[in-house]
Amino acid sequence: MKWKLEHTILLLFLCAGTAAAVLGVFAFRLARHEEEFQKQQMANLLRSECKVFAERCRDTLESIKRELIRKAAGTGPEIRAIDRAVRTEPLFAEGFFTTADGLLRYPAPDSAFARRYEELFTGMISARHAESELFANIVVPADRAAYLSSRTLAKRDDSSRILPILPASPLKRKTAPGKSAGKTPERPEGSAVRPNAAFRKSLPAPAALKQMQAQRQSTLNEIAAAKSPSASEANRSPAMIRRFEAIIRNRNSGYIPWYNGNRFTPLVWARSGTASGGAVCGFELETTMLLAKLIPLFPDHLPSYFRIEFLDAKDKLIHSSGGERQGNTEAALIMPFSEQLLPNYQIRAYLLTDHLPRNSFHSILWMQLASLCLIILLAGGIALFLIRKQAGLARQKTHFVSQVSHELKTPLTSIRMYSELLKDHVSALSDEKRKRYLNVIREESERLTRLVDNVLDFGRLETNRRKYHPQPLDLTEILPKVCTNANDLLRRSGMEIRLTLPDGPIPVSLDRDTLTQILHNLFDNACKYAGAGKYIDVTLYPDSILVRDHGPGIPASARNKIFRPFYRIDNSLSAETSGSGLGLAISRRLLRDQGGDLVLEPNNHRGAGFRILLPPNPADHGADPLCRTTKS
Amino acid sequence: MKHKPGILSAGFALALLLGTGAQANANATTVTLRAEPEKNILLSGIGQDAMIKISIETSAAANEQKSRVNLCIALDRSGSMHGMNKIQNARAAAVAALNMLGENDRFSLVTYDSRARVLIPSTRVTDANRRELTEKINAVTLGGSTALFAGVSLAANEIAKCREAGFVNRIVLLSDGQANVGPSSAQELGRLGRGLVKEGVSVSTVGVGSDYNENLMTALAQNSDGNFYFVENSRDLSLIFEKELGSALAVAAKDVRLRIVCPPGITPKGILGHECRIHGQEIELDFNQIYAGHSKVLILQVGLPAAENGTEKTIASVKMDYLDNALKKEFSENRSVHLAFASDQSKVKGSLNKAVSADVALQQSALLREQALAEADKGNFSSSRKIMESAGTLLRKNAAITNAPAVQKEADIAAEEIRKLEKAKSAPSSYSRVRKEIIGNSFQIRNSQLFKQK
Repeated sequence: MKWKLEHTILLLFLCAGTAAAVLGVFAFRLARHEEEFQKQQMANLLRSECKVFAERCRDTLESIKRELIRKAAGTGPEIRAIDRAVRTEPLFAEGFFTTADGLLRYPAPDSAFARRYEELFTGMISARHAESELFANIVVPADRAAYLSSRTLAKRDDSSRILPILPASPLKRKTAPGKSAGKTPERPEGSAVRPNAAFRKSLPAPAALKQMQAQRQSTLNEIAAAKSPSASEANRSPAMIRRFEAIIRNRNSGYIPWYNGNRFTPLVWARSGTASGGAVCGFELETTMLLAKLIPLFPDHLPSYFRIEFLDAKDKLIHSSGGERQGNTEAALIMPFSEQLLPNYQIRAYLLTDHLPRNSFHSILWMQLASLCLIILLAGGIALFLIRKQAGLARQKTHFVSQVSHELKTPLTSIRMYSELLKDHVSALSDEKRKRYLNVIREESERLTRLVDNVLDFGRLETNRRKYHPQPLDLTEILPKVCTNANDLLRRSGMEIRLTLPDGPIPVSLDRDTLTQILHNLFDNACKYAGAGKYIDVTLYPDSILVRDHGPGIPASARNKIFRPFYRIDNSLSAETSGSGLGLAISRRLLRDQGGDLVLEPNNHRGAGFRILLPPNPADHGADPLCRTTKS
Repeated sequence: MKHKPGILSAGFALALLLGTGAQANANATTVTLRAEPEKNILLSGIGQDAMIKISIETSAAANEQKSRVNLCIALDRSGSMHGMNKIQNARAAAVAALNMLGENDRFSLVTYDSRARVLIPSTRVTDANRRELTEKINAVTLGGSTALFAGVSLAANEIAKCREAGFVNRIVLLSDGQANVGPSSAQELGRLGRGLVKEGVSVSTVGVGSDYNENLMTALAQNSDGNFYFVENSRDLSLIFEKELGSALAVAAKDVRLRIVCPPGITPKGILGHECRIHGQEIELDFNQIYAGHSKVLILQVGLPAAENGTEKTIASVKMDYLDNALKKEFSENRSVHLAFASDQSKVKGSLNKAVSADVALQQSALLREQALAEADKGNFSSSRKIMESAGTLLRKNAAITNAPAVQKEADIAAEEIRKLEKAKSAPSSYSRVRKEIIGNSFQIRNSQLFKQK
């Protein structure tokens, strides 16, 4: 039974532990998932923040561009007017004007400006494919392959938006006359980029490139096909055309994102007057000023786990906002700033996971798991302790039963034996023998009674059914009587009580029977275990009674256990002394129930000493320290 | 060649400075335009260059009425500001600057390290918020690298928040290191300065220690019509801020536009030490402001064709439009410069205007010393030394002729610089220090800076 219970408990623990472990693993997975989810949320937030910021920048750039074009349109094709505009407009670095067909008139052809924009003003492109190559300078500032391979997916995708532009007229009228009927010849700036939903989706780089090329080719084919019916018209128009002329053809104003080598030097231009045949006035924009206008738009108070960077075409950092990043942090988002207005400039957003706020869910989980483990351990510990205690108690009870049976059997055997002797040989026995036999029967009966009394007492004490009748007693009167009675019994064991009393009376409120019982228990123990000591010293103090024998004393290992019920120093049936192991436990309980106590005296001299601490007496009197010793 | 005594005696022994006119209120304005040639008589028969000193002078009287200041301090808080109490002194200087501002002035503070941020947005300085602003300045701590471009951009944005008329818009940029985030070249920052000056914002730059990029700092100050200061010991920062704000608080003229027109045949070659727009016969030059009690000196160089003995010519007419800051009225002034030609060398020598000659020598020596540094940068220390020595010689000779104390002092400084450069050529760190000193000094001469440090 014991074995089974322990194993069941262990099994239960094991189950609970396994459940806790499974729960822990599950909780951790949940926490990790939660963390990933949070990270994802943060990344989404960063992306949207970034997009909003980019949108704001684009809007600002658009409005700047519109304003500058307006200024250009308001400037006449005169050196003085252009100079005045350059002198007053912070974003204008230099000005120029051309003829209606884009021939540079000012500055002079040998000027630094003209040299810088030679490719734009004097570079010739195929008139047939003019529109498609207009922005070649933007898309491919250097080596195309290197450009594409160096670009990120987002930028590649965005770069695909710069597509050949279908000629506005007359081709478009021919292909879609209904749609273009109400349009003015001027093409709005935004239409330079033909929106194409297919390209806006994220595609793998080669696929995007291939699709872009296919799209471009199809557009070129479309142009060629549209032009082929009017072969004569094609023959009339020149085969090559100046790039700038191609750009301003059929438009009144515009923005040209231009790269001079690695330096971005965009231009704005506008025809003077409303007529499309007017001279063109334009200005080179000061990129540093343009960038300086964008920097204040950066979100100032980004949390430290976000970082937004603004990079130029050479991937050089222009400005950043948010936390500091390590060199190897991967960007959460790379997007072009504006392929039309600031081509090749990028915005990069980073989610700095190291700086993310500590996951509170995670820590709560940890705490919960730790408390769960603690509770399991604590409960296990308590259960084990109780089991061990129960097991110990059961063992003691078994011993007790065997002991009591043995104890009962011994006097019963004597009683039975002597009573049979008396019955069978009553006439043959002398008076003296009969008397002795009857004495033995009486003694054994008394012993039996004491034993039964003790067991009953213990039972009552355990169930709190024991009734006390405390009464005022003078110990100086009671003690000599009890000791005298006890002496009669003790003398048979060759022992004697030596009583020491104080001079004055020691009043105490106690149940007289319990005091007698306690003292008898102590004397009985002294008889059993300290018979060799001959004397039992009983000393009465104002607050206690000390009972000391002169026997072998109590071993140190047993000193803490002797008051436990059923505890015996030698618990074996073959022990020299008999007993139930209840005497001391009962005595202590009886005293404690009445406000006193029974303690073991420190083992500082030979023999065992027990001190009965008397319950406090309200009418305490000053006891005379002088004692008188009485040999009773 | 035949003399024409009548003409010569008619006063061409002296420079002819004719004020032609359009002074709207001659009694009120404190700004004066002068244009004087170095020599009133030039040698006839040869093509040559002539130097003309154009000076814009203001009287200190304009100082009485202080302008309202819209000041933004861009403070470098990069890691290099650590040590030598640099950041502490910079903070103290910023607080001193704040305390110099009055109730009607505006103040903002931008700090920059690897990022730039607006620490104090543009705000009107009042007695109530002065303490709070001071606390914010004192809370500036050190950071990482140097995003100077972003710092200036944000500062310009703060200035732009208050574009009311009547404010002197000023950014004071303090840096002790190399800009390493964003556009960082002298050219780029120079272009930024050129844009800012059109917005009416001047950037005065203060280089601290021996690690700042002097080319960048001077280009930014030069192009934005600001001042440049160099301080080796950050303890001097408060003094610099005081001088800078002292000048900003007393602006006599704003939006100054100079237009110099040369008659046909005479080639305007430029103004020494200044970038200017030359269109054919015209040169244009703008200044954001001219400080009270200040004399802005510009040396115009023109190429003259050979002229006959006894002839006289108008070689340039100078027009200046400006806004009198005290009167809040626009004025316009015109001056013409005339020269006579003679074959007599003694007459030519005798016509020397010593004051103008001294200024020409100072400007030329400043340019020569910058040239010498360009050579030294390439490692050509011998040719650098030669150029430096020629600058020294120029100054010494000029001092002997003109007896100008300023030239004599500059000659001594040049001699000292030659010695320092000679010592420093083998040690890059000390070369860098000497270079900064020479560049700073040269900048202050070229721009006739009101507060010169030497």
